[in-house]
Amino acid sequence: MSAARLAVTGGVLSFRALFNWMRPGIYLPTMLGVPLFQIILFVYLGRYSRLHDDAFYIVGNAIAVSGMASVFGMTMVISNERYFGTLASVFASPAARIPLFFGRVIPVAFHGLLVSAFGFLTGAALFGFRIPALRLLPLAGVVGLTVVASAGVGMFLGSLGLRVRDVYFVSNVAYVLMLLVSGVNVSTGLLAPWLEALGQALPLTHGIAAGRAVLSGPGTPVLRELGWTAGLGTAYALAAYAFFRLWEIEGRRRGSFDIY
Amino acid sequence: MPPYGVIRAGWALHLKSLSMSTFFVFVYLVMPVLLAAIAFYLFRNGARHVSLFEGALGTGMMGLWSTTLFGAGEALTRARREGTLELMVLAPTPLFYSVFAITLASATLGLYSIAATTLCAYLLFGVPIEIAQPGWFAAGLLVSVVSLGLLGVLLASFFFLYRYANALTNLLETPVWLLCGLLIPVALLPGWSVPVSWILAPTWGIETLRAAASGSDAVRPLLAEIGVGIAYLLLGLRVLGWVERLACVRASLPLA
Repeated sequence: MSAARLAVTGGVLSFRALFNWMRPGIYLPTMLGVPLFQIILFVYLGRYSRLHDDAFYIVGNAIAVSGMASVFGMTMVISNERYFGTLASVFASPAARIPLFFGRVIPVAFHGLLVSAFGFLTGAALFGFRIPALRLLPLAGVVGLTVVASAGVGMFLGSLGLRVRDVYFVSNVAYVLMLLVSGVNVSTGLLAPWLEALGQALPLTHGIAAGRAVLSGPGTPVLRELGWTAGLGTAYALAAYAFFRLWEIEGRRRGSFDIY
Repeated sequence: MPPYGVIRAGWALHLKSLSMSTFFVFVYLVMPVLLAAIAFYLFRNGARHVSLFEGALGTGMMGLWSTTLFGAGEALTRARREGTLELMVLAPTPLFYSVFAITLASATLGLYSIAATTLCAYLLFGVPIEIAQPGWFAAGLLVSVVSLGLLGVLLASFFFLYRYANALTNLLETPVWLLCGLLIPVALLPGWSVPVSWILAPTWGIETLRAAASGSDAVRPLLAEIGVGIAYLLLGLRVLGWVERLACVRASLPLA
């Protein structure tokens, strides 16, 4: 089996099998309903506090919800192998590890883009948010890169899930923490220095900054933010892969793949 | 065992059980504190003057609603998954008492949320905690927990019929935060949301707490909250009985 086929087919199969939101009865409320109300909540909260305009919250949350899809999606498609008892089979297979591991990003990234597009449509339909036609494609590119980079964070959490007992607690905390520190609803400059530093270490923060910069026109540091997004996403993904291989070696040595 | 004893024993058992669940620790402790921090930054830096203490109470009440909602979502589906539902239904004690014990325990966890967001406001943001009428404030907390526990019975009955109750609980969390004016006045929302907010206990709960804290009239919202609590009780008894009979007739009690 070629590496590309393993990456694509393995990624799609793992997404369908391990990502628990494939039934419409579960998918629609969770992956579309939650982003919808998240955007409404923060736009109204912004209007009430009079800190930023509607566009700030719509862009921040529409990109953040793609991060939600990526973080939770990747966490589940990796750590559910252990939860469902299939991890030992994965590690026993002769398949090349790099396409097996990184191929899982592909469907998760497409899905994140879909959720983000729904977020922007929500902003347009409910709050009259408009994106200039010329900036639509660059914004899609920024969102795409942010989704993939956030999947790196999800991979990192997912690989931790191969070892720690309750990774879903960690991923839930990570997502709500991102809403605080990533500039989704509050400019990072207003945060306490340690929270701001935490935010700067997340690709979502730079992806959102790049998204806002694209919409605010030329002369803004889009490329610099995109560079940070890509760099941090790569760093998380490499760290995730290193943990994945480490747990594999440790699991073989101790016979503890599925043990909680 | 008398009904009071069933509720007390079930409440204590489930309170301990839910307190240890990492998911509920996230819902009653971590999430409200992080949301409170977002609200504090927005209110402190925004052009409109909004009391941070009111923000702390609002995000605490958000936690109380979330624990009630997720507790109700889990109440019967968890018993069904663990195989204890048939025993609950067959026991001579009416099912209402057993379910109310669970939902009351999950609503009680919401008190941690209010304590956590208030402490967060005080310790991290230097917000003074000043409660003008502590007695009415305590009464407001007590009535909120009981009313939301009763609302939980009603929700649990509906969730019992829906296979994907967990997904529905995710969906219902934020709209109620909005509709009850926990952080944003309902007046800012579309006009239809005002009458909807009247039938939701958290609306009156947060109004009671704010009134007690500021020293204004806390009796009126407290009485309104007691009123909606009684309505939940009557509806919950009826709907739960109907669901129980339906499940027995269809022989679908243990089927997820």
